[in-house]
Amino acid sequence: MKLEVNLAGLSLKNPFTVASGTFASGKEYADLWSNLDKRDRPLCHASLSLLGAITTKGVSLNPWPGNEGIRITETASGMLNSIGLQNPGVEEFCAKDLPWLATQDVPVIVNVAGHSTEEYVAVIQRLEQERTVSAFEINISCPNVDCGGISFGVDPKAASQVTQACRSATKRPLIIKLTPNVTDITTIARACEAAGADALSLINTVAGMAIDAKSRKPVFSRKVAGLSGPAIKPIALYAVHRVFNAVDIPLIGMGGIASAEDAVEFLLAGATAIALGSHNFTDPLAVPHILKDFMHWCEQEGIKDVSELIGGLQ
Amino acid sequence: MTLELACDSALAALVEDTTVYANKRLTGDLWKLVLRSPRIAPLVQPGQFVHVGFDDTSRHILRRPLSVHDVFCVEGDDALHLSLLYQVVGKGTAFLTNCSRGDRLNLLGPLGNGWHLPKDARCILLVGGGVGWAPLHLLANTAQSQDAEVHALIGARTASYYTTLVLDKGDGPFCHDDKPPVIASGDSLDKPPVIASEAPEGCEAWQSTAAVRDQEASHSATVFFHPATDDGSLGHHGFNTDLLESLLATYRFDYIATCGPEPMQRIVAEKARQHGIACEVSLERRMACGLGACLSCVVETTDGKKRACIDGPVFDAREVCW
Ligand SMILES: Cc1cc2nc3c(=O)[nH]c(=O)nc-3n(C[C@H](O)[C@H](O)[C@H](O)COP(=O)(O)OP(=O)(O)OC[C@H]3O[C@@H](n4cnc5c(N)ncnc54)[C@H](O)[C@@H]3O)c2cc1C
Ligand SMILES: Cc1cc2nc3c(=O)[nH]c(=O)nc-3n(C[C@H](O)[C@H](O)[C@H](O)COP(=O)(O)O)c2cc1C
Ligand code: FES
Repeated sequence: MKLEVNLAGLSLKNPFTVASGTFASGKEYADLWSNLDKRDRPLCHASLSLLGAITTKGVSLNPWPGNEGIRITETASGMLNSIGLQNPGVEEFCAKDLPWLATQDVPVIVNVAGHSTEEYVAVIQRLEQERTVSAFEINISCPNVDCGGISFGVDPKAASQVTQACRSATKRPLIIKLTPNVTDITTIARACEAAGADALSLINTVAGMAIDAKSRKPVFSRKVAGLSGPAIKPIALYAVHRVFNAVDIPLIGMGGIASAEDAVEFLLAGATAIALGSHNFTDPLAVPHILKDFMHWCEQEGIKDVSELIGGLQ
Repeated sequence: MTLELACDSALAALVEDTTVYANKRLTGDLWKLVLRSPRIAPLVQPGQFVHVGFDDTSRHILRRPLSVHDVFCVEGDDALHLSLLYQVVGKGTAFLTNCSRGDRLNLLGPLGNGWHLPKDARCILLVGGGVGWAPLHLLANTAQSQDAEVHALIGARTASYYTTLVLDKGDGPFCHDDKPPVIASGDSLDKPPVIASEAPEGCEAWQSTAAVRDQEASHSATVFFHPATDDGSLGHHGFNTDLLESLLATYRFDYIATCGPEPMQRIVAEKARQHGIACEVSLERRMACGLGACLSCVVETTDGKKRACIDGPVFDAREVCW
């Protein structure tokens, strides 16, 4: 069975990656996987190289402290987060994470965060010096920071402008990550495609809020937080389906994937690759588990090449 | 005194499908869960926790962090078991009360950086607020095996909450050993045992079951309990921290560990600082991954933001920006 897919020139040994911010740079999970007894390992060598690609936590030019106060809460079939893109900045990322990632035999998609177009570009320029970086995923869709982030993702002009600036800074695959918090996601998708994006990731979290009835206060310091997990899967599927019909570039689908069948549904809707996000929290062995189930599913359904599934909605 | 690593705390976490051995209400909303855990239980260091997964993930997608209260064998089974003490406060802990013997529960653990009891500690104080006693219990055992004199200042709502919490007097199959808990005489201690005056008869000083089990530890190490209850039904009527000053004046503690409500821990940390005593606190934060990857659980420290799940939950009290 052929699992390999081609994502904008990036060859992935299977369609699975992880959703930015749920997996850091993967070391914590790799450590856990390596502690598994042989008999418990869903696949014989559970290491990061199981993945088609790893997608890192958002990296910004300077260190970002993230948000104050409570950062997560559980919701019905989902969770809200308000992490606020806490990260130590691109220099530390290059010094600490990339050397380790270089040993992992897996393509590295670096998720890039910024407050301004210049900041996105500066991060890319710094990472251009690093061979380990296989592709960039530009986060113009995070609801959890005040300036930058989602403000670029809700306006086709701003989205196009950031994409164009990033495009001129790199020849490596450029993936733009979209928000569902817009009236028409296909408008933004087309704008990014026209500005030179090689692929699109969707969806980022859905804006939401939580209130503590007793204290009559919002749970999160910024009020708004990002909803993820199975609760958003239908929203994500529909977004992937619509964008697939609107653009010609490949898509990375994500949002509530928690089983092999979920992954198949995203492929059918038009995703070339899929990312596991919040489900890593529920099952820290989600990647090896779902990959194994996915292969089993394909075998049972007589799938010879996963590409058959992509956009295969009847 | 410097804080030394009592254990090697490199990530040695596993995922294990444990089997529920018992799940019982101790009193009010305090429950105790005993899990057969042949793989995680042997790795647990005092102060570490497990991340408990639920099998109804269509509703609960996040695990719940709970401290390991004790590790022991049950009769007729060589496999180690671990116990969790939990307070029902919301949906997840309410869901846990439905577990019954034979059910499967998926654990991720042991997680976190536990207590760093100095190897040369002679006399230590444990300050627990309510279910915050859970991670202190194993520490008491470790301290005893190091021949340290252990004092426990426990705050609880009522006398019955206190006795079930500390003395494990729940009427379930919870007897860890074939031998019942022993009330130590304290004969072989350098100092004559000082019994907390308010303690109920028969419960003042209690030798942990672990010490009983450990033949080497036949030195009758004791835990001296100093209870405080909200309703005054046992010991001091009020906060346990009201008793801190007099305890610090009476004993020469060389290490203090505390877990419970953060305002309580903060008072303990401040008093320890004033008296120049090494102090560790165990902090609670909401956690998603439990592994250090998601940054849900950060704690503000003098060294920037740290993750409670992996850099903690136990922190040097001086390091925490309250
Ligand atoms: C390291 C650690 C050890 C702990 N040990 C114990 C223990 O031994 N016994 C015990 O009774 N409790 C312990 N707690 C607290 C316990 O995790 C929470 O009470 C529990 O998660 C509440 O879940 P819920 O679904 O019932 O509450 P809800 O309020 O419905 O939970 C909603 C969300 O908030 C999180 N949450 C709510 N309160 C807390 C809290 N105080 N700390 C962390 N997360 C919280 C939940 O995990 C969940 O994700 C510990 C917490 C931590 C971080
Ligand atoms: C805790 C957390 C942190 C996240 N951090 C980032 C981030 O740094 N950059 C980003 O582009 N998306 C981030 N996301 C969004 C996810 O990558 C993903 O788009 C979203 O969670 C939907 O997928 P899921 O439902 O499978 O989690 C984060 C999500 C969560 C839950
Ligand atoms: S819970 Fe994810 S970093 Fe601590």
